[in-house]
Amino acid sequence: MLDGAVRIRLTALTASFRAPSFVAYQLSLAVPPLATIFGLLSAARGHWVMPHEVPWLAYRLTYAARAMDLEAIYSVERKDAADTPRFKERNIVQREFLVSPELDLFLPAEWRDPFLRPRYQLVLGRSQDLATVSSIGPASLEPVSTGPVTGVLLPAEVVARNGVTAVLQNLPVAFTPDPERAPVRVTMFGLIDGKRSTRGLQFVTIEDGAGWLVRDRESGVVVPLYRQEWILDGR
Amino acid sequence: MSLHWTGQPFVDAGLAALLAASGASRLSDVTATHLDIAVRELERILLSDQALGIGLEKSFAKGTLSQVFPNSELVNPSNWSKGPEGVRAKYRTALKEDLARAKEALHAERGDRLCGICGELRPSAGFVMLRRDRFPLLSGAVNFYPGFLSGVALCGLCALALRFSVASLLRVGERGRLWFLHCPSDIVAARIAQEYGWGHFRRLIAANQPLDFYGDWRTSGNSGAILCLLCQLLRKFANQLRTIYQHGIPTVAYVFSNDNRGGYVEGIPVPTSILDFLQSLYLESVDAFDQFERELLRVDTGRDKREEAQRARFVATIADRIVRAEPIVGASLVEQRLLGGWIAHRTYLREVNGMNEAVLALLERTGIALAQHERGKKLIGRLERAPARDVRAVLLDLVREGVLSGRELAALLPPNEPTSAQIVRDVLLAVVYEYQRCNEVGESFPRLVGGWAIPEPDEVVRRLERIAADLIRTLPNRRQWIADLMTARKTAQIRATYLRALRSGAMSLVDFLFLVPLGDVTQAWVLRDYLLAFLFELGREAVPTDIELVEGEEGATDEVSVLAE
Ligand SMILES: [Zn+2]
Repeated sequence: MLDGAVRIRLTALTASFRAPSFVAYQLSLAVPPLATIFGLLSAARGHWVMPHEVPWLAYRLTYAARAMDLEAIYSVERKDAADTPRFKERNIVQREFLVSPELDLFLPAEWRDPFLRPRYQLVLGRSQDLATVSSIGPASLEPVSTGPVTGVLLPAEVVARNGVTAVLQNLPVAFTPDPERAPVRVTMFGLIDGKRSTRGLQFVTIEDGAGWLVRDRESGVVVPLYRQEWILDGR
Repeated sequence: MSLHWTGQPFVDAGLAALLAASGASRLSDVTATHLDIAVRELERILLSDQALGIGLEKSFAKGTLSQVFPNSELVNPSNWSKGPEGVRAKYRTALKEDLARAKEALHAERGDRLCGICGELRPSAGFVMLRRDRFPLLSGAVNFYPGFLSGVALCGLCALALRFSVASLLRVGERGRLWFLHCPSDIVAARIAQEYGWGHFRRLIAANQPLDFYGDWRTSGNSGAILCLLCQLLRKFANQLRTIYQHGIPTVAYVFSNDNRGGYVEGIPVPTSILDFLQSLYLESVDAFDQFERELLRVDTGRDKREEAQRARFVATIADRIVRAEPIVGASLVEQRLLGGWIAHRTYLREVNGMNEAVLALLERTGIALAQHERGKKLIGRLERAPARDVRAVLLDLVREGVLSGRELAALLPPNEPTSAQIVRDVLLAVVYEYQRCNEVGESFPRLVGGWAIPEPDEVVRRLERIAADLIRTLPNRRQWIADLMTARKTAQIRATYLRALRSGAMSLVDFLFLVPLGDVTQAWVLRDYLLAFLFELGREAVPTDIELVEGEEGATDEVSVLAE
């Protein structure tokens, strides 16, 4: 049981989490990867946050709809990490985004203050996807073996155990700071879509959580909890 | 370090094709020798005259394939300047280098650089920078390469796998779009590559025809192609695939075009319930399975143009609904016929829409009763034209005549689920039409066998049943009272009728407030109908048979708007 945790709700008009598989034509993932969450933590705290600074975290993201944008882009490239980036060409690409995203973040209590007064602007994706902290409240997470989930990333083995509908993606858990920005670890997740329908949230029932699921007693929300050791080493 | 699925759709598509060509049975079993075998096959296929278009009208390499890998070694004009042998030499050299890097990655215990695709630490010397000529869908947006770099860095194994993805790609048949199933399963993915990739290529080469991606689906739309592939797989490899369909491996169909003038990519997750459905249907009856595919998913050529276009639209709509796991029975009712067969629809309702088996059996019974009813024609006509609220009225008539019980009505149309009216209507009509067809051709209707208990009614239904029982026991002049309740046109009239029962002591104040909740007009009409159902059932001798039941306008608005969504 994790008492004294916080639940931070971020809302925005739009969000976009580029599927790393598709570089030029952007599909948005339904759920942000862990690396994006570390980006958010970094923005809130004002310095690059790495996994060894966060003992655990959990989250889910729901949204109202998917939509497609057309974007004129000015391509920039460089030969290697030491080279100066140069403008290359202008192009028009499709960019998928999520409408009215709501992110519920569960974190250790010390994250309350950084999200009360974030150092940098919080975004759910790119710079235009401005986000706001709409509430911060107490959370107490208890382990559960089964439960309904939506808008979460499940480790691939949990997806396989339960045979649920999911989109599999290899996703980075975190990145090292600039200029290298190398992935700390990349692992396969199943994305459980969190699109809100007119009938409300649609859940997938996980019968065998294999030790991954926690339930917030305050809100009833069930989410997978990622421990620091797992994020860093997959153990 | 052994091979494994990566989660990157194109790389996984390549791994599937590599596995199929290698002769290994599992990805984790693939050795350097297997890599050699697979590479030899890739080389043989892609450097064949039929791939390069030597002596043929069409060149796969410069045509369709270049859409996937623009300006690859097989297209580049400077390679062609020395003729086909120049191209072949260039490709062989590049492939040999890739193979060497892949073997190195396979042998190395643990490298020093993390591959962003497979997530493994690999020797950094084996990494290659891929651009759009080697990695599909990298055209156009250079600045989305990580860190402004001029390409994406992949380990040797992932880079080699990408070359193989050609044997996993399929054609949709419209607008030049390609697609593949991302299904990280050694059996399914390799079977697809074996049958529709390698096998298809080999057949074309043997017939000296230009290579192309397989795309003979005779269906319409992206979803149609996906479903036809799933049907064909089940038919061809039923035994091997059974466990996969039963366990529901996460499966996403990626449809894409890599056209320079307008790239496109869409990921369509295939719900596991659809796999369950196809599998159950196939096991229940191969004939029903064939009929389902033929009547709902196939577009035949040879009709007139207008008819064919209409049929194509129909198939595309149904297939889209199936892939989204939405109800299809209503859309399958065409000119008083059910297309797709009742067994398939029944299985779909159960596996995909989650309909209870007992409710399905009850719907079957009710539909048949309707078809056999002496006023059947009138009742069925009412159902056909029915706005959702009339469905309840038609069923209520059946309760009045003793065909259904009050509890059965509540099981078919739970009072708190107004959206179920539409589907109940559609299913009843489906049963009616199918029953009529069976009678015409002398077949027996395929009824569900076995006895099922309908689900226990909820609190609200039990309370209505109890109120009805109280009323029947204590109400003076029951017949007139029930007639008044049946013919009320305004909510105020319902309330006035209840007040009479309250005054005579046949109804309590609490029940009165429950039946006409303040400010909720719709609810008052819904509850009245279920109360009537129990009154019909429990006080049959007091039920007027000659009075038409009236559905007030006031109660209708909300329900219709819910259904319009
Ligand atoms: Zn790799």
